[in-house]
Parts: sequence; structure tokens; C-alpha cells
Amino acid sequence: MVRTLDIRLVAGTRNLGIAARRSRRTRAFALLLGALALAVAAACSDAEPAAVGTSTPTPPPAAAEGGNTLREVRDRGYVLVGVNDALPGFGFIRPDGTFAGFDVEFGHALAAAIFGDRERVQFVGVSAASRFEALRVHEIDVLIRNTTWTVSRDMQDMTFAVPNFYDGQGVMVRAEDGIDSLEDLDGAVVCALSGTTTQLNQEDTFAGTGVTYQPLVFDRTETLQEAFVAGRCDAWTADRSQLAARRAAYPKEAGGPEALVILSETLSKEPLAPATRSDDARWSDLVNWVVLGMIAAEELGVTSENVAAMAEDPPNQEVARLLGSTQEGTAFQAHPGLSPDFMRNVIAQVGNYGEVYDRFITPLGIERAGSLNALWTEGGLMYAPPFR
Amino acid sequence: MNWLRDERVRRALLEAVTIGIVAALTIYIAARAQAAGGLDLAFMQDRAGFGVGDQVLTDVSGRDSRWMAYLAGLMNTLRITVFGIALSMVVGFGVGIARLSSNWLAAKLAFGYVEFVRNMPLPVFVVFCYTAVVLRLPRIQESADILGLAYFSNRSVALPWLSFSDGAMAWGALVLAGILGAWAAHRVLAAREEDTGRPSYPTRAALGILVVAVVGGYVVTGMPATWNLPEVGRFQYTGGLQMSPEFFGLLLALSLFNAAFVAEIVRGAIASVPRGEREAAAALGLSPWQQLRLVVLPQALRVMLPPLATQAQNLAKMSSIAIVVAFPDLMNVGGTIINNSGEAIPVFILMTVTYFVLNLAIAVIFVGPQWRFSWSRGRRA
Repeated sequence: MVRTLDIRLVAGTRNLGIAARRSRRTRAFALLLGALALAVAAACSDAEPAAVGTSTPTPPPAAAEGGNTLREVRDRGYVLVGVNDALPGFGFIRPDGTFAGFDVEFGHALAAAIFGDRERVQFVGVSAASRFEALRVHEIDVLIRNTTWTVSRDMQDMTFAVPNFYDGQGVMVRAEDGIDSLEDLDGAVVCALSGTTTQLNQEDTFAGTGVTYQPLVFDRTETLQEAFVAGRCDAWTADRSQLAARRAAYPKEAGGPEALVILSETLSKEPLAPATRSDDARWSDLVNWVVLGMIAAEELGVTSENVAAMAEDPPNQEVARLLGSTQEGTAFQAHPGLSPDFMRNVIAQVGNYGEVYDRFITPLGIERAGSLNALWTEGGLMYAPPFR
Repeated sequence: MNWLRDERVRRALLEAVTIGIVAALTIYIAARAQAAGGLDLAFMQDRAGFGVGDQVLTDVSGRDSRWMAYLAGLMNTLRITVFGIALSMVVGFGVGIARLSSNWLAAKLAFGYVEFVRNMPLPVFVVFCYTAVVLRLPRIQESADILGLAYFSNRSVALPWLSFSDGAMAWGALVLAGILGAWAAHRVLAAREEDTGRPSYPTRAALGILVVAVVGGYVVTGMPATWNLPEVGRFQYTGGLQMSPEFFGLLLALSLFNAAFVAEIVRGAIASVPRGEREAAAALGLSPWQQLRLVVLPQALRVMLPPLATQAQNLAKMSSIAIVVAFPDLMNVGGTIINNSGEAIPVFILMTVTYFVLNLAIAVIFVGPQWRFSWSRGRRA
């Protein structure tokens, strides 16, 4: 009460008071007009949600052609493969600017199968966010970028080939801390990167075992590694392949790779598989069977060294069919668009599954024996249906 | 068309058109958001499925709803904002006054600090404070300690703290009464001293009342508080008051960053008080400290409050950078909810509204004292 009075006193002269009163009347009029405008606007915008509602559910028209990716590729003269450009071991750029890595080798294998020349391929570095769109708009023919095969992705406009790597979320700890299992982590600080399903898997697993933990979520790997080196975190959780890559590159002054241990427990399934558009089943089959052929080659003992000899003088019919060797005048034709000996080119120029694994994954320190990535004959999941 | 020449009509029309445009825009945006499912917050009641690492006053786990996780994030934002504003004001006032000091070293040091911080991007400063300062504290196994009472490591800063038992509320009430009593006594005695000219020792009397209330109350209520000392555990300290390195690093970075701007506001406000005011105060025989406290600061405070309020709001908004040092604030938790639920638009709307309300509250708190100034100025006039 007193305050308003004083303010009026400050405002001072009689003239000012009148001006204030007049402007108040003007404002009332303006409010009335405003309310009218509002009603009009509301009437106009009533139609708006309906219009938006009908336009959003219809998906943008997919690329019209029923898909003859193989012919597209042949006409172009090379195959376009979307890969990772920053994951050591899987897909990365060498100092000379060429792509290299485990996933990249499968791109080379495709080129060898189609053209008989592993170099007739162009790699496109795609980000985690843009990879599916790149595939959908025909920017790439196939996506081989440590992509997890999930039901929601498969049911949309994509088809997955057989996984070329079975990954899973793991936990990395310092060797000196004497942590052997998840139970030992009760009360520990667990670091992770934001923006992935890592946190959900972690919570699910830990809640199941009754282990309490303190999450620490970073947005950049560098800061996370800095905190881990400084001893701020007891554990680091991510996909095992990424943990292995990080472990291999762990700074020397912090003890190098030997200072770290990746626990044997797995918190989630992450089967990484090549993906193609689902409108071209023949192309999807081709990609699938190049991967399967490499697995079969390993199982049958065909390597890049002995493939020439094996093709000339196949030890059994399975090998003969795999390599497309001519026997009694005919060769086994697996795919109508490819030459019968397409797998011979793949094995000669790229190698079988085990050779590719040894070239890029073994240096990361990811043990193959006893893991899901071992051949089925050795207790793993790498299993190719018969070539016949 | 004569009525169009009437200034009142023209002004009213202009205002009506403005209101109409704003209203239409608001309704349009709301309708679009509604169509995109932006206003349906049912998913917030689902199980969160992720834990929030650093919590004070809340205890939310992955089994609670997303709302609870959001609340934990909000509490963290409030915590960093309140402490950050307090610390940046204290440091900023000190530095701002030091910049005007006649002491050459103090003035140059303050100048160097302000220029160093003002010319650095905030994310760089935050990451620097975290990785180069806080993470360089020793590991928990090699904790630095002060007489075994307080521990410092990059796992946490653990200080002795009181743990309260029954009767703590009564003690708190007695302490509050003591504070009020001391304040009243100081007022009465100071007025008497001024009126009669005889020394009445208002400060000593107030302190005496306070001590009697705190100590006496403690004994009377049955000693309801005991010291809770931190102990070193395997992964964490147990007991005591703990401050996470992320909170510590972010607090350090945000308050030191904003203190540089506060210092410039304070310096500018003090410089805006006419030189004659100070000279007149000096002529009256006031000491330099009295000149500052009784003549310069009261006038400068009126000038600096609006920009200070803006700076405090800036700090609240800047706190959303917390994720770069893994502090689970509103933005960090909101981002995780978006990732898990895929509901980007509703969560962003929710965060916008939350930050908006928070900033309005800060504005009200800071502009509040202004009413007093305009009132007292009016009374003097």
C-alpha cells in the first residue's frame, strides 16, 4: 500500500498521472481487440493439427526402382560401402588416407566377388546418426559399420546379413584393483559414454545381481579416459570391441594395455552385421553369402595361400562348389549374377574369415578362441550353411 | 477515416496487432507440438532404467519413474546454481573492488584474472578445471587428509559433518530464536547508543545472546548432534559430508568464470558513482572503508543489481554444460531420457519450461531488493 503510494509520488506531476490513466483505457481496448484476434487465430489453427496429422504418418516415398543394386554397381564400376572412419580395428583411416579395418575388409571382399578386383570399391565414412539414411537414399550400396542387428532396424527398410562379429557390452577395470567379476564392483564408480543404450544394459544387469554402483556419464571419450587414468572411475563400460580398442591404445605412462583387464561377463548382445536395403533381396543374398563364404572357407581349411592349389585340385566336393572349380566340364553356379569362382577371388585377395580376424581384431587383444566369434566346430557361433 | 487520426485508436490497434501475432504464433507452435506428440508426457511415468550418480536430498534409483530421475537432475541444477551464484558473487565483489584498489599488485592481479577468464571459452575452462585441477587430486587409496578429519582425493572431498538425532528440531528452533533475539537486541542497543551517546555494547550483547542460545540450547535439548567423521572405504568414503569431484570441478569453473564478469559489473558500478561523492565523504572525515561502505556502495548497488541478475541467470543457463564433466544435471539426465525414450520434443519442451521458471525465480530474487531502493529513493525525494 505504502509502496504504491510512494511510487505514484515519485511519478510526480499531475500530467503524468493523466497520461497513465489514458494509457490504461487504451490498453483495455487493445486487450479486447487482442482477444478477438486470438479467437480468429484459434479458429484458423483448428485445422492445423489435422493437416499435420495426415501428412506425417505416410513415409517419404522410398527410392522407386524395385532394386537392381548389382546392375547399378556393375554399371558404376565399383561398389559403395559405408564404414566407420574412427574405430581402431574395425574401420579407420590410415595415415595415407586409405580406409582399413575388419569391416573394411568385407567391403574389399564384395568388390573381389563382383569384379574379381578387391580395389574396385569406394568407402564412405558414415556417422552413427547418418548411417541408415545414407543407405536409404542410395548413397551407399551396403553398410558395414559395426552396426547392431536389432529387430526394430531389421523390420524397417533394412535387411541384415549374417553377423561378421558378435560383440557385447563389457566392463574394463584396472588389473591392480583385483576386481574379477561384477560382484566385486559393489559400490564402485562405473564410467560410460552418453547417447547409447549402455546405461540401460548396465542398470538391467546390476539391478539383477543386486550390486549397487555409481554411474558417471561423460559425453566425450577423451574426458572419460582422462578420468579413468586419474583413478576417478573403477570401471569403464562399453562394447567389448571398443573397450579392447581403447585398451590397446591405453597411454604408456598409465601402464599401457597390461594395466587393464576386460571382465569376462557380458552385459548385452551386440551382433554386428552388414546391412542392405530390403527392396533388393538378390543383393542382400549376395552380401550375406560373401560373408558366409569366408566363414565356410575357414571351416574347410581354404586360405589365401592354398586357394589356388585347392581350386585346381579340390580335396572334396564342398570345396569344389565353394571355389567354383570346373569338374567334369561344369562349375557350380551359386549366384546368377556372379561368376562361379567368385569365392576363389575373395579368398585369394582378402582371405578367409579367420585370416581377416587375425589381421585386424587379434592386434586389439580380443581373444577369438572360446568367444562367440570362434567357428562352430570350436564352440563359437560362426556357422555357414552348406554350399550346394 | 477520421478516427484513424486519433492517437489512442492507433496505439490500441498497434497493440492489438502485436497481441494477435504473438497469440497466433503461440497457438501455432502449441498445435505443431501437439501434433508431434510433444505435449504427451505419459512416457515420463515409465521406469527410468538408469541411475543418477550424484545426489543430495534425493535418492532416485533406476527402478523409479523418469519423473524422479528428472527431479534428481533438477535438484543438481539447483544445487550448482545456488552455490555457483553465491561463490561467484563473493569472488566477483572481491576482484571488482581489488581492480579499483590503489594497491598496484592487487589491481594488476585482478586485471589479469579478469582478462584471462573473459577471453576463454567456457567449455575449455570447465574441462580444464576438471581434468587439470580436480582429477589431479590424489587417488582415494592415497587420500590427502587433515588430521584424519577431512579427506581429499579425486573420488570425493569428505568433510566432518553433524549427524542429528531426536531433539535437533528443538535445538534448531532455539538457535533461530537466538538469532532473532540477538538481532533485536543489537537494534535496540544501537539505537540507544545513538540517542544517548553512552556506549551500550550492542555487538557484544548480540554475540552473548547467540552463544547462550546455541550452546545452552544444545545442552538443554540433550546434545542432539554428534560429529560424523568420514572414513576411507574401498571405492568410496563412508560418513561425513561428501562433495563429488564433478560438482567441485563444475562449481569451481562456473563460479570463477562468472566471477570475472561480476567483477567487471562491480567495477563499472562503483566507477559510475560521481567522484565528488567520495571526496565529500573524505571531507567529512570518513575512513576509506567507511567511504566505500556508507557512501559509494549503496549507490553503486542500485546500478549493479540488474546486470548482476542477468549474470546470475547466465550462470544458471551455463550450468547445462555439466555433461562435459559428467555431472548429472537437468540437461544430462534429460538427454539420457531422450536417448532411452526417443521422445526428444516433449523432453526439450519440459527442459525449456524448467529453465525458464528457474531463471524467472532468479530474476525475482535479484530484482526484489530494487523495490526497496526505489522506495527509499522515493521517500527521500
